[in-house]
Amino acid sequence: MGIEIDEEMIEKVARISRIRLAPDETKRLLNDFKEILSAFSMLDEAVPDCEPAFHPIEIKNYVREDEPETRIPPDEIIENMDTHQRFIKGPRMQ
Amino acid sequence: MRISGATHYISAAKEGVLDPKAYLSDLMRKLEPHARSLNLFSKINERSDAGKGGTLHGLPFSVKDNICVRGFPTRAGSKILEGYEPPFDATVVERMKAAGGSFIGTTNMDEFGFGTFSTNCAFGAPRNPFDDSRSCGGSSGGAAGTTAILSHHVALSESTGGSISCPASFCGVVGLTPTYGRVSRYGLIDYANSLDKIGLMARSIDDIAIALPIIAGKDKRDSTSMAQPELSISNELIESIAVPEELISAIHDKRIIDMFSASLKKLEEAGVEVARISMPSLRYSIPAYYILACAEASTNLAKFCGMRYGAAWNAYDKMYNEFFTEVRTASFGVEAKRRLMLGTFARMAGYRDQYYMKALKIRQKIVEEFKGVLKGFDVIATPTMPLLPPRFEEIIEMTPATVYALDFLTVPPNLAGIPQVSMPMGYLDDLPVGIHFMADHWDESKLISVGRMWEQRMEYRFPMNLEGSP
Repeated sequence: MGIEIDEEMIEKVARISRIRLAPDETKRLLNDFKEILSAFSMLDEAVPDCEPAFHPIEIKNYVREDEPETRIPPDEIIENMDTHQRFIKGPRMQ
Repeated sequence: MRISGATHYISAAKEGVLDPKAYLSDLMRKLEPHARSLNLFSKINERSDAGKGGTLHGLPFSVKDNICVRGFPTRAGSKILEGYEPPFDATVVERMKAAGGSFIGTTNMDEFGFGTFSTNCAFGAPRNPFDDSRSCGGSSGGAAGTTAILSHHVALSESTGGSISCPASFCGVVGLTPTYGRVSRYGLIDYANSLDKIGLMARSIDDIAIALPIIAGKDKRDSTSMAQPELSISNELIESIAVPEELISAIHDKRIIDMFSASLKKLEEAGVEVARISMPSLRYSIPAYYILACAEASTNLAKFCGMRYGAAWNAYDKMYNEFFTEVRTASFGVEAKRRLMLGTFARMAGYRDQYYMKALKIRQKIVEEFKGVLKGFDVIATPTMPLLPPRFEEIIEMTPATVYALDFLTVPPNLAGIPQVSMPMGYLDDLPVGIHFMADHWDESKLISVGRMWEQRMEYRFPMNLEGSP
């Protein structure tokens, strides 16, 4: 596909993915990306003259009845989270 | 006619010859040391209550670690979900329990399903019961290994690109991946929404035929399950099998090709017409699949950020980006990071058309090609995997691109969302080899029929036959 991948690109992709890489990881992933994208470059020759398939079968939208339902009590849902007075704790925004 | 494990168990329980409670308690005692030494389970259910009545009468079932079980640790093979206990059952678990199944534990898997050998599990790789120096296959490796050692059991497993068929082949069991949308994905910790399918592993096709109607069917909580026609399993006449030449010629192990040819001959002798056909678009399956799967995974896994599920990261003095980055860096494994980054890359501005959109079009082409062939043939067949279960030291030497390329037989039907079943085809060096049958969308009945036909011509071997005393 003629795409030049370098360490800078790997670091950019990691940053967007919210992953921090050690220098040796960056190097290893650069090699992996080069090998994988080189194998994927066979797609260059493919010229599919059709619409994209977002699903393998035809999907329609179905909506449930607009009726209130408490399937899982909220207190049970927040049991998996760090909370304070039933508010979910999170990191600082600024 | 073979008497399957589940059929045998259910009729014994129905007749009162077998007490499900005593059976289960004895089985769990026997299972524990083997499950531990082979690392098959993420967690065994030590408080397992025997199911009652229903269709299953307490038949034991295991659940892949990425399918939610209420109040039971569910980690999808990832450290980032350590400590997570879902407050609900996935629809498939709810249905198995309601049908009288006994939940025995969650089985080990590659982290989020990212792998071919289950070696990317944060809690250690499951080992193959045929030879514990070898892989069970992936990503549902623990499910396949468990099925290989238990006489009466079905495993809820899941496939995105071959994660049922590959381990079923390596562990010598039957693995059915239904049509995309046939089984509700509600409660599945998703890898790639447009590719994930929950399916089954068991010791015979009849066991699958018992369990599939329980878990299949519409579910309002998964809109992709709502388009399905009703599942109806009957004994259908299988008259023709197509064999895609491109896939067979890419297999390097001649012994596997020879065994496959001999298997086709057996079916021809039974009156089935076998034809070699060409499916040229399949050569693009691997890049198209990995681009789509990784792109979807990279968005799905964004929710794992140390706040809502599992690993809690109490560093609240950190800014939110730094906080998320820290927990993800520390908790995701190497392959998870690689796939998240590949997916992010494929979706980035400037590369989206070149990778993601093109892969979607290739998927359409492959769907059309499969449907075209299946208009003229009942099923398509290939070997399931191009190699025998490898040793762990051989896997370490493989590069990621090499591992991805090994999925070339299982990825095409998964990309097309058609149902498929892997069944033991024979044994080489005392290791199992699988045969893979594929049918048209919603045609699981044809797979059950070809499976029954195959089992009349094949004797299975299992490395262990653990069962509870009646």
